[in-house]
Amino acid sequence: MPIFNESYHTWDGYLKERPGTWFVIAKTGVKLAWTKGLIFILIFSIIPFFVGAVKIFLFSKVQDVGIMTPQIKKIVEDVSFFYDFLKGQMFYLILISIFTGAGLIARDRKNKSFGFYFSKPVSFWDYVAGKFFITGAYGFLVTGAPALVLFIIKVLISRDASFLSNYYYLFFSILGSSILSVITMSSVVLAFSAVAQNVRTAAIFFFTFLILPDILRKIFSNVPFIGVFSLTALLKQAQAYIFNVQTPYGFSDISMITAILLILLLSLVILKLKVRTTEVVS
Amino acid sequence: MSVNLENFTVMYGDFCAVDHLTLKLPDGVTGLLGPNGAGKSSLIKALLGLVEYSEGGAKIIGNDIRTRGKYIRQLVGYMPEDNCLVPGLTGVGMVQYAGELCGMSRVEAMQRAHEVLYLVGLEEARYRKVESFSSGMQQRVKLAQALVHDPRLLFLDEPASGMDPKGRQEMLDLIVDIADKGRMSILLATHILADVERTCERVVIMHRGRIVEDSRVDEVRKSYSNTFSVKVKTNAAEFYKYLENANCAVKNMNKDVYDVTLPKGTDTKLILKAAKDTGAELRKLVPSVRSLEDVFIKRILEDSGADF
Repeated sequence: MPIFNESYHTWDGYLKERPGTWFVIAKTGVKLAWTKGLIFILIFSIIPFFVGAVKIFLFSKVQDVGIMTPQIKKIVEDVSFFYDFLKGQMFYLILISIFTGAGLIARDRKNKSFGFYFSKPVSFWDYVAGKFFITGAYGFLVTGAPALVLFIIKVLISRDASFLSNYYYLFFSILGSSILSVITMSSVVLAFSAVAQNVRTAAIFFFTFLILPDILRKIFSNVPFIGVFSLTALLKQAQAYIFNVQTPYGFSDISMITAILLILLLSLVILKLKVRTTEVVS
Repeated sequence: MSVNLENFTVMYGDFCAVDHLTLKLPDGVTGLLGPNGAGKSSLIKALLGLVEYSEGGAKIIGNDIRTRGKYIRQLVGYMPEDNCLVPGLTGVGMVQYAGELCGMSRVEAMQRAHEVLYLVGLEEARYRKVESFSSGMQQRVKLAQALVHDPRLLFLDEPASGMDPKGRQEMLDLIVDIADKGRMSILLATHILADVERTCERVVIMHRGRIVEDSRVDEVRKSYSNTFSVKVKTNAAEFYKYLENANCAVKNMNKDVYDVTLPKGTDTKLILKAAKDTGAELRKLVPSVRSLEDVFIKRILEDSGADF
């Protein structure tokens, strides 16, 4: 006698009307993105974190011994230490964005997977939010997360509560600046992924979009405004603005905010046009 | 009533893919039959909200597609004609993913995924990546992802395409089994008539976006049981005139071949008598329709206005 027959069995469970279908997409995407290449990037991205942690530790020891010099203080000067750390992590954020984000929508377009998603109770916003979370989560893992851990280490290693009381706002600066970088970078990479039909094209588009304006900025260094066309320059300027340190580029804050908002808006428009919940048959 | 269409129209620019359909599909298995480009897939996609419809309205299991689209997609399972798989996922991962997207919990979706993959015959391959599946296996996994949440209505768009004869047979057996054991209604869109004859109780034949036949499969055959294909050599005009006078419907199908539908209560003796009385030499007298395929071809040609 067979253990069970092969006939169809009904299912008597209950289907939840989930508002968070995006989370199912995000969760699955995060799992799918976890590959050897990504682990490799994550391992490399953690090196600056360890260097930073050692610096904090040594700084506290130097403080204990009482041989603080202006040169030493400059290395771990409280605000610029975190600002510099996040600025340095931009490279890893770009790598992670390309690695996790370039194929997210391009692959679905190539494999005609929109039909799979949108024949289920999945809306445009669920889909985009889910995909966005995948890149965003890994992006935050190399920017905000290590910076926040460094901040906590710094608080714990301090002899008294003076660091926390003087620099508590750094927590929010780290959070704000990394979230802004992650959101902008993820939006752009997803927009390129939606435009391209395959991963490689999306990655090349995205990389060109990042590199070309930077090259132009360096060629026309006497025209500071050209920096608003460079995403990395915009994000570094925004980070400086959030940390309230000397801004590295010559364009105004208003130009920076407007340019970032325009990039976000343009990315959303591209996503809206390319991620069609309904097919367009010509 | 599983599907209720009212003046339902789908336009692609100037081209009318679904032309003002008014249709009530009862529960059970219905075959949506039509040649390529008849509007079958467009109709299904429009019902699911994957294609925008331009006029009319539709209700699925009593829910208006205009206002309850998301809820409807939870109640419905859809096996598309396109591949539309998510690369990187294993067979079981793909089906579980579909279940979770429909609102199942993670654990239930996983349990059910194993169950339906066993049902569709992919128990051995369930841990393989879907992109490594053959086209037949991809068809099976597509069916599994449509079944995972035990939908109330199942749309199958060309379910047996790309499958070898054995696989096709198994797929059709499976559809019959699902219809028997499950509690879902099935709408099977195909251009393969044998699939409909084998699996469906009801058939809707579409051509150029319009419905040219909508009835039970056995009734379709029965309705043509009194129609004969007739060919005579001499005195043809008198012969057909004689039949028309005897209340037969006579229709020229192809050159000398005519379709003669006999009035109720009569049989082929009337044709034989007509031949005898008019002196016509009867060369052909066979039932005009022998299978659904004949009905299909007949209906399509009638709709096209072409000669048979």
